[in-house]
Amino acid sequence: MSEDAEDVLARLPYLGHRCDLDLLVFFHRHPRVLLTSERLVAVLGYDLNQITASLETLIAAKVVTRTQHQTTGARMYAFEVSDNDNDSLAQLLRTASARAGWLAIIRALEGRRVKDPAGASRSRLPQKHGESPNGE
Amino acid sequence: MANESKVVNLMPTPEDFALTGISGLDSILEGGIPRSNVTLVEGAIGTGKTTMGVEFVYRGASEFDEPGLIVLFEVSPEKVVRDAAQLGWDLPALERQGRVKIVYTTRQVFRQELQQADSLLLQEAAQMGAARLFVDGVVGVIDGGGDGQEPREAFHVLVEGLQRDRLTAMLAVEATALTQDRLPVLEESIADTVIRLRMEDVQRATTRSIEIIKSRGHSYQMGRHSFRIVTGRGIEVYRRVQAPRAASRDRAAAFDPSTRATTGVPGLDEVVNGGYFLGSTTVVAGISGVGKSVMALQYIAEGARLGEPSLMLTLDEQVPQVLRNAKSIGIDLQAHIDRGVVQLYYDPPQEIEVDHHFHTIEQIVKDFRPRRAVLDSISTYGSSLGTQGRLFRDFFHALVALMKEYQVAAVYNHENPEMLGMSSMMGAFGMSSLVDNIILMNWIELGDTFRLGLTVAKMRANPTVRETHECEITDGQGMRVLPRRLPLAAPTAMAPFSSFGGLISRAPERHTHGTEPGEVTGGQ
Repeated sequence: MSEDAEDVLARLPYLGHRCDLDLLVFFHRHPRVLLTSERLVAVLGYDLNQITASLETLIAAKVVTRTQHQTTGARMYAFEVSDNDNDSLAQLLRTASARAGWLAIIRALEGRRVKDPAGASRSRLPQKHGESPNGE
Repeated sequence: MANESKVVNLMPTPEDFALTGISGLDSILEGGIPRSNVTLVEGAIGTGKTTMGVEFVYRGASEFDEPGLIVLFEVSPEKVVRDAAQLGWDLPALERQGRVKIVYTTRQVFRQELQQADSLLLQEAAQMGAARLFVDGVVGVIDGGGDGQEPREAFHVLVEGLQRDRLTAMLAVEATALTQDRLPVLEESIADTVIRLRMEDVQRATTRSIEIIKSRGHSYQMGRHSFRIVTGRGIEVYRRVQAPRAASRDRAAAFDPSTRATTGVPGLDEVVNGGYFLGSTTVVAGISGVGKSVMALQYIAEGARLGEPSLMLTLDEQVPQVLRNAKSIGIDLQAHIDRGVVQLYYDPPQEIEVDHHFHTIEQIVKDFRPRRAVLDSISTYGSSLGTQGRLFRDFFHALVALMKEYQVAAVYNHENPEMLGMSSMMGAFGMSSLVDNIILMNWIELGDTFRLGLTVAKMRANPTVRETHECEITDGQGMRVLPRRLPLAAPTAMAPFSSFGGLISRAPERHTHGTEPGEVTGGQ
């Protein structure tokens, strides 16, 4: 299981933090959402900075698109999967759909961060909602 | 010079209505929901509100080229897609084609969205050309959402927002928002259409019902109709059996006085003037075991022999049992079924859902177009539906009207509880005025023998000689009506019925004089 997780993560290098994964799974389950960032904080349990960072990660990877809203804080997010990423993402999401698979991916993500500490500057340790980002 | 005014026809056309596509619902709505109507679907948990709303959007996109938006607050889109797949609806395919979009949001955002001129949600709807919208769970939206807005005002804002974009919207409202089984009257008054879904306890069973409480801009079928959620198909609404049908049914409610359906029972056609008229209603009444089902099988077999589509509806016996019974009197019913000339429909009588049952019969009659039909037996309906209330009577009325519309010569078996003779023709059912022909089947005790008597008690538009005829059922051959006058001397137990009086009044007395030539009265 953990080898599978590492293999599939190797093909999705933009994923660096468990929040990236949780947000990805959330958007997979809710392919089109109209929400505020605060709502995503409440639903996923990470702090606002982490949610914002993970959103930027997924948007930069063209997995998610975001429409800005001029009047309210809500934004429309749509889960978009490019053809290139399709197989890897599908495999990742399949693995993450079961608890054991999800834990294996989390462990693989943490292992990746230990091997590549530079990545930690973007992908911080998981923090639950209410904690200060970066532990500051 | 007089002003010439142009007459504008404001009568709605079918194009002014959005067909829901939900089986049976458009019929009750008499052509669908007027476009741009805001429909509230009210109901307690588990009544099927989400299913109805999702099907409304799904059918619009898949059958009527009307894309639609589904807005969810709590249920995850993933689960909605999964549940839809169980019902045979491929929502992801429609999403890929851009014909359906499922948006997950919060009530607060949704409420704000509908108050924005640049609403992302409505932009999304406009981009995809959405004509339909389903919002699942608008409690919290229509009650002001705790932001100090009056519920009526909040709901009014919601409705205005939806109508601004000409969306035909369906909004699901949970029972927790209801007061005394209904929404607060104000919200219902603002909504254009209000549909109420219920779970109803019937004895220890539960059935679903749907009621159109109001719908602006058109007429609809009032009252509580039944519905089911069927795996692989979706919602199926069955009009309540009492609801009026098309006027054509009433217009056709006369029998053809020139064409008869022969009975298939040797000797019986002579007694019933050659058979039953097409479109007529015949009741065969008698105690269990008297031969009603045998007569029914012969009637069906006769139809098959003549190449007439013949329908047997049975509640008392399951199909294999009916086939076996038929075989015991020399009828290969299965061969007729295989040939497509006979259809056999069995519905278990336990916890019968009368609207669904009638709907099924109606569909069979419409599709199969039988020329003759047997229903075995109406007494079983009585024990399922009760004979005291109106339900049975209404069901029977509807059934008779259906058979008359399609000019079916219909025979209904009725189990009369009296073993010897009859003090009333239809007992507690009290339906004899609705029936054209009544045939009484009786055991008659003569000497130490029970003999089988048949009396035509009523035959509308026919000359009727109310003589009692003897019948016999022979193994491998079925029933036949014996000649009334037997030429042989016989003891009492064997003497012809014509030599007795009071056969049906349970006190037969043998005549001692006035017998016909060739008929012997003695021999005891």
